[in-house]
Amino acid sequence: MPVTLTSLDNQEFKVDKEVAERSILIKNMIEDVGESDAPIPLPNVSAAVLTKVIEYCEHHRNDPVQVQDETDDPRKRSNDIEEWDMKFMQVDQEMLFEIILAANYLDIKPLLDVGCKTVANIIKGKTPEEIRKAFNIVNDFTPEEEAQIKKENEWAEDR
Amino acid sequence: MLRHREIQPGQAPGQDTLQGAPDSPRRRPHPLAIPEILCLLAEFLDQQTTLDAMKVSRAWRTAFTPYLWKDAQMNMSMPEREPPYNTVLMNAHFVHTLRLRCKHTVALKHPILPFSLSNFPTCRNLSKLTIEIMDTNNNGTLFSLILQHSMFLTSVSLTAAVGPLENPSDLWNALVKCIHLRQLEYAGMRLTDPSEHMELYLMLWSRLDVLKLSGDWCAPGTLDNPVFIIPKGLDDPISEIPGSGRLRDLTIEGTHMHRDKMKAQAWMIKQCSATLTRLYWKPKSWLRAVEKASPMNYVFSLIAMGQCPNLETLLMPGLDYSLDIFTELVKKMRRLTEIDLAATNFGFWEWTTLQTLPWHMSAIRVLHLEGCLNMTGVIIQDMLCSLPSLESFKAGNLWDIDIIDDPRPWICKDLKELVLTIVFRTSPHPHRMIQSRLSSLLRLEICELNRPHDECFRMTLQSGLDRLGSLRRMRRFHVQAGKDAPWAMWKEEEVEWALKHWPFLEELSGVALTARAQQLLCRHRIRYAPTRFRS
Repeated sequence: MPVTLTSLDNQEFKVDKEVAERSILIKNMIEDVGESDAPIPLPNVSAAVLTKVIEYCEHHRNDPVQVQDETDDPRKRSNDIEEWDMKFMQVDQEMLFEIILAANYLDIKPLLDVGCKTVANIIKGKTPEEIRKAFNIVNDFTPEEEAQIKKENEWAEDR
Repeated sequence: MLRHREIQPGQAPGQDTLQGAPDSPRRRPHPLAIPEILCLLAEFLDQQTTLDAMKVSRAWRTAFTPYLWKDAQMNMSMPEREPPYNTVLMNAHFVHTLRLRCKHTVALKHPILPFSLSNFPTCRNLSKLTIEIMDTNNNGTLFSLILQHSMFLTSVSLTAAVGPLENPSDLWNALVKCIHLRQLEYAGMRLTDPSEHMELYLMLWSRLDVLKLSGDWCAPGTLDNPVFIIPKGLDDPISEIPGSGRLRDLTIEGTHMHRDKMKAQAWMIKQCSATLTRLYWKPKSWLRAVEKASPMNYVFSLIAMGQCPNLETLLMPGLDYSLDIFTELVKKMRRLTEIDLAATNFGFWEWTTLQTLPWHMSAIRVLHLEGCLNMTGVIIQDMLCSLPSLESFKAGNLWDIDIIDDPRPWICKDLKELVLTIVFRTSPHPHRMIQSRLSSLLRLEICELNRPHDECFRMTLQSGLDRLGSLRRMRRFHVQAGKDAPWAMWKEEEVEWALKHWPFLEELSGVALTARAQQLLCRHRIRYAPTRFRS
């Protein structure tokens, strides 16, 4: 049974209910509204981004529900992105961040995780200046603040 | 799950430090200015990357500081590894896991003091504590640290590197008060007073999910087999302790091979047989299992009689067992997924037995059989071609001739860890068949390739290293370097290749490096050792 999703720019997308419900936000909306043909408005997601999100949900429509991985290491790993997901995320930086924002808004945790892992992999191995350059971030620290951070965190640095 | 933030211009903090993409008229804040997105990101960054990220901007520092401290590791036997006292004071409330290595003397201004001062606001987040004590004198501060957080601690791990604790009863008093304790690891400490054991066991049976014990200790109680007689000297043994409601993961290792102690260990295993899913039992040396009255046979009979219905593991490396026992056990273990029988007589007959059990064949995830002298390359090749769920495989000699003429692919596509010794008989160099087989293991993260004796494994770009370019998840790579083999050294080209194709590489060992290659690795913070890393 298809549902209709309407993007920020009023473009309509017909998708299977099963695919749309990969988004917990949409799933809850459908449950609240009940049986209805009315399109679901998504005012925060443009058509271009929604196209990508739907592509992801279609590919992963049969994935099992994610279970929290309880391992000893509190930090999650970012080296385990699947081949298809890696190709899916080969987009320009603006689209990458739009996908992350959309996944956050639509509550699609696996897509949010993949997006964050992709950004994490961009950040890894870079110096602070290289990170700033990669994302157009301005350094707003004073030299005194920089010295203080160094002093506070030296104990944790890799030798 | 995060609720959606209403994104409006000017709302996100630090927005003015982010420009957005140069040619896009961004009205909404950049995702990397939104604290919630940074928090999600933080969970995927290792410690060093978090430290670098904190130096990017004020907003990033604020967002990532809690994650730096969430798992705090402090080596207090090295002054340069101690965080400043005031820094700890400011950030203690972020700490969920605290890992300490310490000596006995604790100066007044010692960084861990904030955690153990009774007038310091309790760190409600501190749930996991790992302490390695170099010297066991005067550990009052550490025990008060446990007491101070007894309402919140769920996991405690204590290792004494040197000798027994001075006042073990202090420790037990502190641990007994940790009412939410679910995991306890206790190593290298001697219990001397039998009456202390009662509290320990009563506490353990009712609370713990996971218990790891190593070092010299003993347990009281009777065993229902008349062969097991209570050793003299124990007062007031409890004849029946209610079975454990929860204990599912039990590790006992490194204890002395005193017969009574092994009986006591067997008794412990019996107490939690119904709930156990994981059992690792490895004394310093084994009593021979062929003795009918041995503690090992007692435990085997428990399993064979179906009294451990949830047990998923058969972890008894170094044990001298008989084929009959093995067959009885595996047939009874309907949930078996993990086998460690390294340095045992595991061989052809055991493999044949396993092959008659289709459920086991499809479910086995971990198979560790290093040092099994009855294992052959044909069996190893057979295993790699017929165990689809294998994630960790450690075995001995695989000959290239075992692979070359066998058209079957390796079907263990989920394999993450592989340790093998490869024997070359067709040529002095690794055959491309081995490399192409390896290259099909796309999820491989840890790969250790050895050669018999001191022979060298040549794995350079000229001998097919580039065939392993598909192994993008590689984190640890070890190839055995022989003595005096300059033709097997890695130069800069090899390291550059690895950096490009193995972006998650953390450790490289065994292979000899040129000086420049070593510098390149160091610059990318990849750990290197000319011989094997200690695990």
